[in-house]
Amino acid sequence: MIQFINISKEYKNGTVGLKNIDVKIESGEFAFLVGPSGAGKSTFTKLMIREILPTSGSILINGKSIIRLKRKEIPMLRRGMGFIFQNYRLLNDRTAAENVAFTLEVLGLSSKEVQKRVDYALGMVGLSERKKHFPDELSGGEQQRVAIARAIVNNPAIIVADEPTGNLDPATAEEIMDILNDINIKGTTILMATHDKAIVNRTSHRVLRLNHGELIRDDRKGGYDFEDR
Amino acid sequence: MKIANYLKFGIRDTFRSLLRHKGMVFVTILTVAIALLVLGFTVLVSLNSQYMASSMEEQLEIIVFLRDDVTRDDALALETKIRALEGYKEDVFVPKEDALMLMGDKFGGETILTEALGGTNPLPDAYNIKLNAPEQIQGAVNILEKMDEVEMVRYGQDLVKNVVTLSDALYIGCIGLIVAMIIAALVLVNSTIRLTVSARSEEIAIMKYVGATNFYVRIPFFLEGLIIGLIGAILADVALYFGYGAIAEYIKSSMTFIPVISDNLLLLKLTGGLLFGGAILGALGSNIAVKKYLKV
Repeated sequence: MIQFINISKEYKNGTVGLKNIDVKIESGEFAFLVGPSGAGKSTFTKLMIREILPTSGSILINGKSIIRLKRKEIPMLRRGMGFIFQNYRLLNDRTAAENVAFTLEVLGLSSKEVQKRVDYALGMVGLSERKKHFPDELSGGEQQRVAIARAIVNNPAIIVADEPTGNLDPATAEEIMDILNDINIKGTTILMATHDKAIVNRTSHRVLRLNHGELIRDDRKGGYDFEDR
Repeated sequence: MKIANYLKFGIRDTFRSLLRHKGMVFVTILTVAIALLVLGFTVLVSLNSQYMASSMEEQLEIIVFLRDDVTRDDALALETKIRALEGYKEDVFVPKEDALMLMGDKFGGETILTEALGGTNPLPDAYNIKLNAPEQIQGAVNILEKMDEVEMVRYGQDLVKNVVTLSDALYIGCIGLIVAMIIAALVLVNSTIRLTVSARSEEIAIMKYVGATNFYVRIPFFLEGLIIGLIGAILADVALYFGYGAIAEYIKSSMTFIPVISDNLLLLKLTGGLLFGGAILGALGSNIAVKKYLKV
């Protein structure tokens, strides 16, 4: 469970990232985080992974405050989450399999265990045949699938996806959404920041809409534009 | 087991990265090698300057001529007073007979010289005295000149002053130059390493996002820095060892009046020091450079 309790974030230059956010996302839920650029979506996801700290308020992940974590405890928090980025953020000098293996290697697992789990994760995203390819030999959709495999390979309880379909054509975006939905059905909580109206409207997941740092809508039954409904 | 796996992956990543970033690795090795080579040569030039100054100091001596009426016993007894001088190192008593013989050697034989001088020996007994440091000469001369047995004291007043000044200036100059070269090497190598690390900041950020500890992120960078530093230092050492050897040989054979250090042990110590310095420079440099990107 993810819980934001009266969270505000103001950056050093005076920009307001988030203002008095109160929200609870239950385990196994799929929630979209929508809103225009500058609405606070990135601030929201950065707070979740403890990349930044809020100015006030508290964030609980599975009942535990992440604000009070010591610096050396942050890796443990992140190992329980998976991240997917708009621009994939793969290492270009490593193959698809090596990019996925990366997540497990930092845990200190044995090579054999790493290999087994990497094969399974790449199989889940349908990339078993492309595991020895480097990112620049893969299409955008394939690269994002590698990124998803990297995010799920450690069986995280939560996946944070920041505009994962932003760089993809609609058909590929749909494929990615299918994969994410499958992962969600297996019990993983997914928080996905997106601009993609079509994708949000096609599903009936929860929608959290931010604007100028404020949560202006929390709709359990989907739809991108509440004004149109 | 976990640590063993960390190290295994760390070592694998180190060599993978060294091979995949050949260009940057080459430039960094070259930078380390050049910085250490220049530093090494500066140290050698400094040591040689000091050596030259101390060789000149070695040659400085006080010559004390005794009065003609001083008996041989009194002359020999004077040595006790000479030995009590501050900074006393050694002395040689030159009896007038030996002095004549020495002069005779220069002027065609003692017999010819004695004949020319009308059968007498006009040379006085003398002491050649060496002190530990040239700064002590003036004080010793003042004491010697007041002794009853002493007729005259010679000590190359101007030369002493010049050698002392030169030696002091060289010492300060060399220390300054070495410090400046160490700083230059640090700045140069550190900025090169920082550039190579900054090119891989994305890799560090991703490692942090997937839950890598700072220790895990640092391992390959630390090892890479160490290897790059060591290779750079080895190149510098080889160039220094053979380069200095050739230069020292040339000076010894063509400019014999210049004293040159040709001490293999010293060269080994210096190359060992540079090797150690290179390893530290590389490992610490990359560790410091990585720190900036760990705040993700």
